[in-house]
Amino acid sequence: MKLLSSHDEIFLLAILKLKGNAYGMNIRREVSKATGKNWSIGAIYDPLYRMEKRGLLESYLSDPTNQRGGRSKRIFKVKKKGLDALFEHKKARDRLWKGVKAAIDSQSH
Amino acid sequence: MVKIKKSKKPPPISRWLLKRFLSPYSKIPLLGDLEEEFYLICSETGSKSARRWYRWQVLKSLPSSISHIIYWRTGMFKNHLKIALRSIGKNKAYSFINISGLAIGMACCILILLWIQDELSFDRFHHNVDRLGRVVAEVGHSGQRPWAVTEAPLSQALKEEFPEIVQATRAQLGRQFRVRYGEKRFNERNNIFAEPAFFEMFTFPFIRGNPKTALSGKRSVVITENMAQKYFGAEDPLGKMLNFNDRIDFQVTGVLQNIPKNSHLQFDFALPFHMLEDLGQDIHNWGNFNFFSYVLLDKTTSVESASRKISGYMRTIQPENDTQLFIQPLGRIHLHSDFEYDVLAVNNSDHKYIYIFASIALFVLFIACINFINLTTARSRNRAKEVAMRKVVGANRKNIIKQFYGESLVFSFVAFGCALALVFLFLPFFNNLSEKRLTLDVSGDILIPAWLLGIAFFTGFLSGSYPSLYLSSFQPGKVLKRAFTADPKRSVFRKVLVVVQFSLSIFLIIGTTVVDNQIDYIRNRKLGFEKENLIYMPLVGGIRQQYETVKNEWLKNSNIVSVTASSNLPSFGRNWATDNLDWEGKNPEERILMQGVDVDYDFFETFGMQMTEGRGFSREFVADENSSVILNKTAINTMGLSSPVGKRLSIGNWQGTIIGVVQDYNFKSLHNKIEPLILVMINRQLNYMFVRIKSQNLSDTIKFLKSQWEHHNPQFTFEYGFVDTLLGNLYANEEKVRTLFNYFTFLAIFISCLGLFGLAFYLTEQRTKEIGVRKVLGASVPKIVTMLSKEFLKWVLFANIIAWPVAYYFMDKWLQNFAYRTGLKIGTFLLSGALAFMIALLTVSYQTIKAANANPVDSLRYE
Repeated sequence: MKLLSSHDEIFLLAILKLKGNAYGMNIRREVSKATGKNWSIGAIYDPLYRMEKRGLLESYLSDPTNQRGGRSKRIFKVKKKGLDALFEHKKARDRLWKGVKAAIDSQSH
Repeated sequence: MVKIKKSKKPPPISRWLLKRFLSPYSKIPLLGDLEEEFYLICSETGSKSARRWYRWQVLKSLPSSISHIIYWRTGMFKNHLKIALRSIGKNKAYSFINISGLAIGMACCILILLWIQDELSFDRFHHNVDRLGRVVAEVGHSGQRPWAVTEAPLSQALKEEFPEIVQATRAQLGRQFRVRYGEKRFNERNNIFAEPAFFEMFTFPFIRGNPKTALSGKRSVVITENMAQKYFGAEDPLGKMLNFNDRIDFQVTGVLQNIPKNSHLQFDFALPFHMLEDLGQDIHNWGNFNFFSYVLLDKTTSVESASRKISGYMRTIQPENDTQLFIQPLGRIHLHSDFEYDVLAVNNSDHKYIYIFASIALFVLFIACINFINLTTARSRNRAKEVAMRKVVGANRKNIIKQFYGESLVFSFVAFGCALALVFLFLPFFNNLSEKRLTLDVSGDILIPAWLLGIAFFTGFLSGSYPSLYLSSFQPGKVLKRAFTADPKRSVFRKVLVVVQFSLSIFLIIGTTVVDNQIDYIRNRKLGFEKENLIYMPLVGGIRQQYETVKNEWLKNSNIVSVTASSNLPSFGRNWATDNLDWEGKNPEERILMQGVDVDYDFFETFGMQMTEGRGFSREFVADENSSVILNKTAINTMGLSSPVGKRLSIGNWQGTIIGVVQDYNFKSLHNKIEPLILVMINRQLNYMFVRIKSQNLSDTIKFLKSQWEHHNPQFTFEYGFVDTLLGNLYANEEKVRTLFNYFTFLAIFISCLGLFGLAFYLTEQRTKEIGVRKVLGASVPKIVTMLSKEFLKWVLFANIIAWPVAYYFMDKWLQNFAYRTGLKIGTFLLSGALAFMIALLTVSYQTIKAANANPVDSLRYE
């Protein structure tokens, strides 16, 4: 399976964290808060769309609400495959991280 | 619900941009997200920052949105492109006609565009172009064109009087010198005399030397790169001495880049203005109108306001002088100077021609687009099934429209490529015709590529407009049930287009014929004097003293008939003008503007002019040199004199007697009517010598003239010209326009015929079966040919009816430019119409004859 990119990982985590309320604006705020970088809204949908195509995510359009000028939200949910990928990713990362700290410490001496 | 104030809403333009560019996937939620967060920020930090935020968000998301669009839409685009290319490949004849027509049309457009761009670029290369101007004088008589030349002290006086004028210079062009450096000798005639400020005002870039001081020295000369190469080769020209007329040495103080072709001032040598004094010119006094006066205004003054300020200045110098001055912006000199005594007419053009050529360019392109429209709709049957299938599988009308627009754009861009190739091929030829040095240089001016692409897109959209609407209107049900027949209304539209096309062609044919006629008329018109075998020479400096001697020497040669001198070249105007005129029996209310020319003995004999009354000037009458005048017929008629000879006439304080009346002759170009003219001997301001020679032994005669001249004036080069060539040059501009006009008309007609040919091809093809049936039932070949051709020829006849009045109106207007003109003859119209008719007949007959001769057996099996 294709590995996740770190962007993908961040988005997936943000969606999971937001539970049932993961849509464009919230995801953007969440991701911006976590990375300290001001993401543009347009840049969010692109990776989300790609992940949906890969089957990591699913999305549906909610009923339109008044405060959004009568427009619906696209709410995202992480699919099983997405969750698996996420854990796979974490595992690979943990394996690598193991021993890295010791290596850095020994290098600096 | 509370109405939201405008400033509380997201910025509309940004929102529109988003709507336009977003992919369907994220369009609605994204807009919603933005709006929601917008109101959130509104309530947190105010609407201003919210709006800023919104705009910023939109800007940031544009790149990804655009890439989205491309992704989403390329699928269909690829399909459309494939179909378009296939349809080009499948119908070779059709594609050839369409593409070649469009390519020729666009090539014409591009050439004309380059030409216009060059015309408009004249003198724009000067950094100060908006602040530079030429002082022009309206010499106080209505109906007179303003003078491009002004008096000697004027520019300096204006500069001192008006603080708005920062710099001023006088300039004079022309004069021929014999220039020598070492063993290299050449005659140079492209010279300018200018004051030191000249190179500070105008931007003629220096390669060597200092523009500020280059002309300050009394014996300095500035030369162009070409001249530096010609005289000095690889040597450093700066500081070298050039010898002028074997008399004076000038030191080279500067080398200029070659003068751009789009400069109204053309020269190879720039010499100090004071040099003119050595050549015998008066450069100090009022009354000497021999100079162009250029001024540079300060940054805050507009040309118009400065022009208004100086307009009445002459009155402060001479109270009774009602000359009006005005400043002509430098950028307008090339296209808007129909002034008297302007720089050579050959170098100046007319803004009217810009309009004329721009319309021709549009005509030609339009004709090509009509071809495309007609052929595409005539062939619509072939595409009907495709359209129907697309609709069945879910395309809506908009999709189909887009598809066919796309297809016409493909056509127009293929044609555009061919057009560029054509332009590259024919540019040298076109440059030759138009006497320009145009290049298809897209790197220089950003506007050129923009225009070129504009032409391609415009053509694509114009030619795609109707076919896409038409083809997209097919109803799949009908088409697929084979109930599809050509809609008669559509073919009416097609006929209208063909009529328009042929009207344009006929209009152009009439136009060229009228222009041709008029120019021939001017060339062959009797001017009132014999212009053949007449030689002129400028009479300057020392030669004036030698005039009588040289004249007598020359007359000894049997090939020289007579010699005279005058202040002016014939057809190049007059020397002076006055309305301070009185004569016996004059009505005190009457004011007549009289033009004056100074002449010498033998003037009328040399020019072959006829006296209608009285006699010419004669040595037998002592008074002739001082107090005799001769008037032209127009003058006598305007004054209302019945028996003029012997009547007294006074100009100011001067008294004279009328001794004769000369038959009217054209002392100005044929753009002007003959005005009242007075010829006198008293001024003796003789600027040109004229020699009437016999037509045989021409070169010997000229050799003789030259040897005598140089014997008496070793320091002056023998400079001469033929009067008839000189007069021909007066209409050089019209000649150039005529040639260009002829070529473009030819192309327009050619494109029309291409279209007609194609149309005839498809329409006869559609009637194949009908023709077969008719033949079986006994119709003869000629009958069928007539039947098929009649249709087309009807349109051409109809086109005549439209083209004639329009052509009449415009050509009549053009002819108004000439005081002497051929009338618009009905024959011209009939001939042009007949010509168009013949061309159309020939074009169509190939197809119709072929169709009529086809074997009915084949025709009936067709389909």
